[in-house]
Amino acid sequence: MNISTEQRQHWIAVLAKAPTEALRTLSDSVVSDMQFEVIREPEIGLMQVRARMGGTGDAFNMGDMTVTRCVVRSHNDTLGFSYIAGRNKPHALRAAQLDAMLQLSDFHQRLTDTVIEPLKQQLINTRQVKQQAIAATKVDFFTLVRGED
Amino acid sequence: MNSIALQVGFRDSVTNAQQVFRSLLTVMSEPGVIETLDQTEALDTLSPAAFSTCLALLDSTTRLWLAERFAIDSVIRNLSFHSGCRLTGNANEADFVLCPADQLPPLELLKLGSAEYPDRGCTLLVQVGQLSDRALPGADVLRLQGPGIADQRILSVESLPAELIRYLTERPDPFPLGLDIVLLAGGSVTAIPRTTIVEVN
Repeated sequence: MNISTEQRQHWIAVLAKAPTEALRTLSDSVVSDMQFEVIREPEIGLMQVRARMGGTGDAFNMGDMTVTRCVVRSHNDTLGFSYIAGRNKPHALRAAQLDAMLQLSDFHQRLTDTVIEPLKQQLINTRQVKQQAIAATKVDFFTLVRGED
Repeated sequence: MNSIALQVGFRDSVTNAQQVFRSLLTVMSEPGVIETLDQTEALDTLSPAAFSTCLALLDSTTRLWLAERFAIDSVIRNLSFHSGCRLTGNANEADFVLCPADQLPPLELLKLGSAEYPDRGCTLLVQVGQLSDRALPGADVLRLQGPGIADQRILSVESLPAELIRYLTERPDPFPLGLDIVLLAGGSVTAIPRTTIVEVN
């Protein structure tokens, strides 16, 4: 099956950011009757996050974050990878399993429709609700320059 | 996708890594003692002992030199996936050298560390035919003496290269500098650190 890097990046990002509960409810039935070989058990570690000042300046070490990662192989020899923020082994395992399955033509369309799209929609909604909640608290100061002009 | 090349490392990474490390400590401190090391499967041309040792000792801060027979796609992929180690083509900057008995790098090239930091020398991981604590027919029989050995210990090594025997008996590097040698065969391991005095029977 032909999959572009961008496509795979997209579903891996959605799987990583999705809430664990929603991820499991949506995918339990598809994953339960599949066989996987665990190449790298879900493991928790620390990663250093680097950033650039103002987005373009010099790089600096912003801090460390905990990450859970996992690698599995499906019965059709596709490898599934996952890197999840925080400590959540079941989430990392499930995300890796789904990544492996999404590379199989038999499951790709079905999983995209039943798992990835709903999760993506949910993420967009959560983001919008948060944005609106924050936008509602925006304060305009008439006497001060806010720096946007 | 060439995903078939990846295989499982340690079944239980924390416990297995500790077991392997404990065994390596034992053979380093009691030279010539043979320990079992089968926490992983074999990896292509690497024996279980060699693969286990690599997973326990290598990480992103160690540079590994691989002999030609081991520098193959599946070995490189698996070692860098599981351990994150860096490979080097120059034997003189390697922290670890992994080679079969008949493909040793030139020993005089390897890093020895310095008098202040003798621990920065290279460790040689050599995959040999067979190890035994009794005299095997056709094998090189070494008599070991020194720290960690009460009286003397007998070690038979099948297919030990002449170059290595010469190094061990002559010990050209001034102490505390020197190479520590780990011998790996199938599912067993032993070591001859730089402090051991070796005689060939």
